[in-house]
Amino acid sequence: MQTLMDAGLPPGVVNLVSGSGATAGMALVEHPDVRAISFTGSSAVGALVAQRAAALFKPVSLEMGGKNAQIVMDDANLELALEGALWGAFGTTGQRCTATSRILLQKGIAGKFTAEFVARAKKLVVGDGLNEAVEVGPQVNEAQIETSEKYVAIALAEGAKLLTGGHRLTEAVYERGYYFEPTVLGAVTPGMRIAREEVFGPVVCLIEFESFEAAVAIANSIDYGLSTALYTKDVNRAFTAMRDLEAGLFISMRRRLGRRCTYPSAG
Amino acid sequence: MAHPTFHNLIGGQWLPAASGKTVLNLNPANHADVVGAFPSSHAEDVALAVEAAKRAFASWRLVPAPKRAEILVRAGLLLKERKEQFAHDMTREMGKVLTETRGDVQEAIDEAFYVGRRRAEAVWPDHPKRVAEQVRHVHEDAGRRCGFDYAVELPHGDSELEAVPGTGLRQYLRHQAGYGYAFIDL
Repeated sequence: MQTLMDAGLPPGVVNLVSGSGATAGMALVEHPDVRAISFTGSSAVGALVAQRAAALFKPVSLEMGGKNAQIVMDDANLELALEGALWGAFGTTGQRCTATSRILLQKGIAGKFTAEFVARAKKLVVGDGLNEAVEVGPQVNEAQIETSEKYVAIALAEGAKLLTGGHRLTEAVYERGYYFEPTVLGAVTPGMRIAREEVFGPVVCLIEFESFEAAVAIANSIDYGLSTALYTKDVNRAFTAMRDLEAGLFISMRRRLGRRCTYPSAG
Repeated sequence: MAHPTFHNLIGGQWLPAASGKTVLNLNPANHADVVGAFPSSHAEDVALAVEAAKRAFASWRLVPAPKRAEILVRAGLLLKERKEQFAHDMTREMGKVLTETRGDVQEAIDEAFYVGRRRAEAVWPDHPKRVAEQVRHVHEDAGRRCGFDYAVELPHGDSELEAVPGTGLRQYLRHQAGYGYAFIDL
């Protein structure tokens, strides 16, 4: 904000009010002189904003959650796919609307990919992000840690297998922070809650599939439609996926961190 | 340990919440490290901000797009200068590792330059008492000639925003395709 003012933006053109969504946020949505709303946050709160705005005939732009899939075909460059999966899932500690939280693996490469992915996840350096050697920072607060714990428990109760991680880190340097182990869950099926609901933490699940058509069906079977990545060497398949995947962003052979300002985000 | 207190920005002034209440923001990597106290705002603060925005809008709405673009580009340059400081502050506040917060600031820099430069090049009036309109007159022969050669370029959003300072050839082609620009003083 200070930078915008230093750049010459006149007073009042941009204002900043800090507060909770229930008080400051809803007051902004309901203010009669506010004619349009742009909201970024959870799907649950986005629904409340949209409902209230609709009653007041205000247009809204909502940027909400995701349960984003990375599809890896048998013919994929596995090194690229592993790199993409690792940073897609654990970059920003998985606390990103476009984080990879489902990795869909074709059966031919599933075993090899899983073994290597789990090995790399175990090696990730977790710690204070101010340390240049750290690769995965903390979760943002206690509530997010509890959400990660809750979803790991739900997944295990539904039959998933814990391949690595699954616990908060509390010893030594982790004592005063909100740290959670990079977590990989295997033997996940598309109907499980861990495959359908957003965790917003360093928790990713692996789902196996037989055919490309099955992968598309699994990717599309959730309520979210934010971002999907496909790893294959078959360009025809990439274009078919671009057509058939129901996601605002489709990315081929690249991890889904960040975006470019030259194209629209999300869907 | 002492920590800074941050305020709301309303009408160019940094102000505490009307209630005086604050909430502490903790570094998630070390919750003994208090990033600062931030306002716990309510409807009263929102109303003040909306009122300030309304006042500002009365004159801001007349500021021509190229002038706004200048501000954006300046903001991009300042962000570039302050990138390390902002990345450090963001990591301390939300926990993301430095490479990620640096990327975050870089996105803001890219956006500022991208939007600023697009607007600077756009067909916009450069004075508050002037309007500029892009007008399309359909010339049958031009339509036939350009329908194939420029079917992609001309309808594209970028080319519609660009233009006035274009090359002679480009201007000629646009004219042939039926695009013209009208500048009217109010």
